[in-house]
Amino acid sequence: MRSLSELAAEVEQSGAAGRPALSSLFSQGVVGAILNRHGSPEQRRRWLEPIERGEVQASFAITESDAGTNSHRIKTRAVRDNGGYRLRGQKVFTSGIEHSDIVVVVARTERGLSLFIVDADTVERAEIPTALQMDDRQWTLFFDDVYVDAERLVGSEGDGLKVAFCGMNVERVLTAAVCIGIGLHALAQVTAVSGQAAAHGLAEARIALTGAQLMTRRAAQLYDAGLDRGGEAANMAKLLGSDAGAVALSRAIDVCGFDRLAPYWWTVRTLQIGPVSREMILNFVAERSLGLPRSY
Amino acid sequence: VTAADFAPSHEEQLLRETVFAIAADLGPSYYKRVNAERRPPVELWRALGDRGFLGVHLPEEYGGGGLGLRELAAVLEETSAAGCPLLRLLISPGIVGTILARHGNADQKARWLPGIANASLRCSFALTEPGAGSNSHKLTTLARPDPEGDGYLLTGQKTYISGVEDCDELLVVARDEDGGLQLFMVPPDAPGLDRQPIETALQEPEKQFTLFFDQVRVDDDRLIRGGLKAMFDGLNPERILAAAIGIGIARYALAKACAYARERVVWSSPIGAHQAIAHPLAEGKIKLEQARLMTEHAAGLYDVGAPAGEAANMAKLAATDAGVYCLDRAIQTHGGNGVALEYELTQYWFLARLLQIAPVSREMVLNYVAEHTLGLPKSY
Repeated sequence: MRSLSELAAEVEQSGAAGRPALSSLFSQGVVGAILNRHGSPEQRRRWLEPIERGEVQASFAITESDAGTNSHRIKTRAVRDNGGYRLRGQKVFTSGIEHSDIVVVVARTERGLSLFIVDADTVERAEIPTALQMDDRQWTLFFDDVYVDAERLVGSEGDGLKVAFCGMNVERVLTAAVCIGIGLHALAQVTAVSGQAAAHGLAEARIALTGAQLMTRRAAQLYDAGLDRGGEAANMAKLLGSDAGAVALSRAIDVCGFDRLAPYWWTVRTLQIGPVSREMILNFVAERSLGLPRSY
Repeated sequence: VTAADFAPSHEEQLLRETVFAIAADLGPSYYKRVNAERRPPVELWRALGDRGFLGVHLPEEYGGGGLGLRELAAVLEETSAAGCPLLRLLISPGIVGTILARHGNADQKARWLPGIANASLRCSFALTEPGAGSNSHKLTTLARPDPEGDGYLLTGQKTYISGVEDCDELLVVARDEDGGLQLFMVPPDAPGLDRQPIETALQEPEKQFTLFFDQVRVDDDRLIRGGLKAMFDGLNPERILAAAIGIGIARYALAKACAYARERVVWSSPIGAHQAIAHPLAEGKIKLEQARLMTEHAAGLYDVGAPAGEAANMAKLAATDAGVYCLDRAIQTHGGNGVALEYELTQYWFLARLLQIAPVSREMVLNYVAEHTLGLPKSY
């Protein structure tokens, strides 16, 4: 099993090479981390090892249209039936299901949230048209009494929030890494500029990328050591990485034009919003790091 | 890997706590008072010197602590976070101490380093000239051999030299007859050396001066060998230590802003529950933590002898920006109280702002990164 530090370095490299490996965020990143930390030995053997080798692709389905960032409002239900569970509900903005063999679904069970491994080909879906130009497309998933065996439950029933957060902190670190990579790729396209107005904009972006890299590495090391207190560093890295990537890309476009760099624009811009928005990160830091009262 | 790999070492943590306690004992009110009285912060300087904190980075055989720049940066950060940012710390042990430790001969080290470490010797650093600014190629202060003996005669002008009012030695950069730069330790009361204070908006114990050198005689045992390289060996630490002051000011400002935002109620909830107040402070916290990683990284590179110019420049920009941002947001969080002297925020403004200009300006840092990191053509 690769460490998050190694995976983040690979993801950053893929971005820097101009071919951002976004599906790694969900497959090896989120689902890999969840199965590694919370999967049963059988789940790890059956899915984690092939995911690691790139033989199985996984998606992650948590977001719902009425829930947004508030996981307490998740309505997709998993009801016990016949020794297994029946899933009913709807997920939105699930990425890359068209390439995936399995999708890990967050659903409400009798005792809180739980996670289930669902075969992708059993799930009804409709594509959400977006401005994104990337390999993975975005989907609405419809679960109409989809049956899964009990062995598809990840972790214990009701532990879903904790299990999901382990994956979501990984997702934040990898989001930062991919944006930093794209930012470095964008700056590398610039070979000549005239004047300090342009050069200094690029230099500021480069400094921001370097700072974000240090924070992302730190967050990955803390995660690998099991020490990322509530995800503080991962959240900070996600904000810094996606901001720095967006600024670098924007400044590079100012100088080089849209031709080569436009395909990355909506990816990076979207990653400033998801998987967790700038605003929710600032809420988190205000509350957890600064001890300010909750604002929402 | 354990938590200890990410936290400061036990030794550094103890150093930080002790320095913070010493400075906080005097604190922002003391800082305000010595500035109003226009006197040096002798009590703070002695308290730090007596405990060996000015020489943490200097060799043990000369009275230092045998640690690195990382630890000296911690001393500057903690004094600043306690409301007592001192440029003198950056200059005397930071620049002059570092240059002497690396380039002084055994006699010179024995003569000056113990005093720098125990606070009995205060040094200033004279590099900037009115006609040169950031361009060291245009330095014109001349050092020529004294025709009447072993020594040199210095002639020229320096400006924005800090803390000359109570310094014991001045480290002066001058050009030799071959055009190379040389460093000299000069007594500030040497015949032919005059000074004129520059009035500034800074509320900081060290005053700024223009210095006039008219055939100032310097003995040849006061020449520090190493020339340009020696000078640059003082400039990267200066940037890293400026970053440490920026981080300390950011910490001080954020702590005050958050305490105020938790207490102050105008409508039904504390103002810190409003995102318009909380989010800028959270952004400040993230800028601060990022700058801290960059500064530790730069100091780490410097301490192992790796090239640290790029990292030091980047850290300096990020940390001094974070200092100004956090202080500005702290003032804003306090509303009208932000400018009341009682709240002890505005007294750091011009120092925080100065650190974006000196020891190297934001613009020169960006030129450096554009040229050296991004490989863009030189723009000036």
